[in-house]
Parts: sequence; C-alpha cells; structure tokens
Amino acid sequence: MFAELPKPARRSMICLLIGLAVMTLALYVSKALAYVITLSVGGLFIALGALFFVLYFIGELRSGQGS
Amino acid sequence: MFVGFLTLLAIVNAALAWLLVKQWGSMNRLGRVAFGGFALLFYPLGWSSAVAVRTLNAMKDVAFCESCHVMEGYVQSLAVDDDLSIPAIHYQNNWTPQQTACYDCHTSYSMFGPLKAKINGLKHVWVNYVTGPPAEIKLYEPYVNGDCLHCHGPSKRFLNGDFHVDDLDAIRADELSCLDADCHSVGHVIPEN
Repeated sequence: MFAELPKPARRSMICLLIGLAVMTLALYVSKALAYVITLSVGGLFIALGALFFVLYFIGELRSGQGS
Repeated sequence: MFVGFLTLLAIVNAALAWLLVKQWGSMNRLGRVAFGGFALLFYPLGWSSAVAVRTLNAMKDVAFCESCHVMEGYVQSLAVDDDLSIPAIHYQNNWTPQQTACYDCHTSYSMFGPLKAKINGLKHVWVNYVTGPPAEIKLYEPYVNGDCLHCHGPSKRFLNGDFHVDDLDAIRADELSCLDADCHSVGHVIPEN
C-alpha cells in the first residue's frame, strides 16, 4: 500500500508523521531546552513534509503538461 | 484541555495520512492532489502553528521561568513579605497577572519587545545548559521608565504624588529612573534558604 505512493509523497508522509509525533511532545514538556528541541525539530519535519508534498505537486503538474 | 484538543487534532492528521495511503490507488490525480494537499500540507501547517502559539504562551508562565534552577530564588522573591520590594508588591497585589508576572515585567511594551524577549530567551537556554549562568545575574540594560509608566503613567495615584509631579518631565524622558536610589530601588529580595 505504502509502496504505491510516489517517492516525494512517501517522504512527505514520513516527515509528517515524525513531525506530528515530536511536536505533540512539545505540548507536554516543561523544560526550556525540551521546548526548543521539540518545537524546532518537529517544526522542521512538518515543514519538510510540506516541502516534499509541494515537490510531488510540481511533479504532477509537469507530468500533466507532458501528457 | 486545549493541549488534549491539539493532541486529538494530531491523531486526526495521522488518521488522514493513513486514509490517504489506503485510498491512493483508487483516487484520480485531482483527488490525490486535493486530499494530499489537505492532509500533508495545509492541515499540518495549521496544526503546527497552533502548537507553536500554545507553547509560546506556555513559556510566559512563572512556572516555566522557575524550571531553570537559577531562577528559583527570583520566583520565590515574589512571595517575600516586603512592601518595598517592587516585584513582590506587584505580584502580591495582582498589579501584574500573577501567572505571567516575570514575562509581563521583563518584556518591553514596545513593538518588538516580545520578539526581543524571545531572542533573549534563546540566549538564556544556551547560557543555562551550555556556558553556565554568571555569578551575578543582571538586566541587559537599565529598566526603562516607559515600562513602569505604561500602567502607572495615567494613574491618579501616580499623578498625585508630589515627587512624580515635580520630576514628571525627567521621569518621562528617562533622565530620572523610577528605580533610582532615592525612589523605588528595591528589586527582587531573594530569600536565603
């Protein structure tokens, strides 16, 4: 099932899930360092996930124009 | 409550991602882009913004400041029974919101005050965990009168004070500090444990 997804969409999905998990931790920590790490790492993975989806979208647009 | 709601929204996002994977083969190109755009792009970006706002607000709490050992004495000083201590009387009389007392007094009311406070906060994390706190903790710059006058400036009690009226221009121009030795000079009185 997962293998059906094109590479950028797969990467987007993996980054999203990691980002969701790490950023959810930010809601439950109380130390400053933990806030900084969970927010920045989680935010980075969410942003990467969004970026990979945009790459997938661009790929779809290009293949649509070609066909 | 809000934390639980945000956690629930994260689970919903993960479920949407799972549904996307499951339905991928049966969807056309438009469906993939639309559903994928929602589940992998717009929803997570909106959710993570909400989490960022929530956590940035949580960082305003006194309990957060106290989570660094070096700040414990300063937080304890808010409960000291001393009518001359400016932080203590502001905290105990609820002149500043008690839950966010540190943030309210140590963040300038200027346009970039909160941003500057966040940048300084990152420096504090570095100092606390990497270089170690200095022997003497001092403000980055002298406390500006504008932050006191933001609340006290228009108050009747302030404007009726003889000293305030006599030196009003100097106070407003920051030429005479509110925390001057002859005025309100007692800051945090850290209890000796």
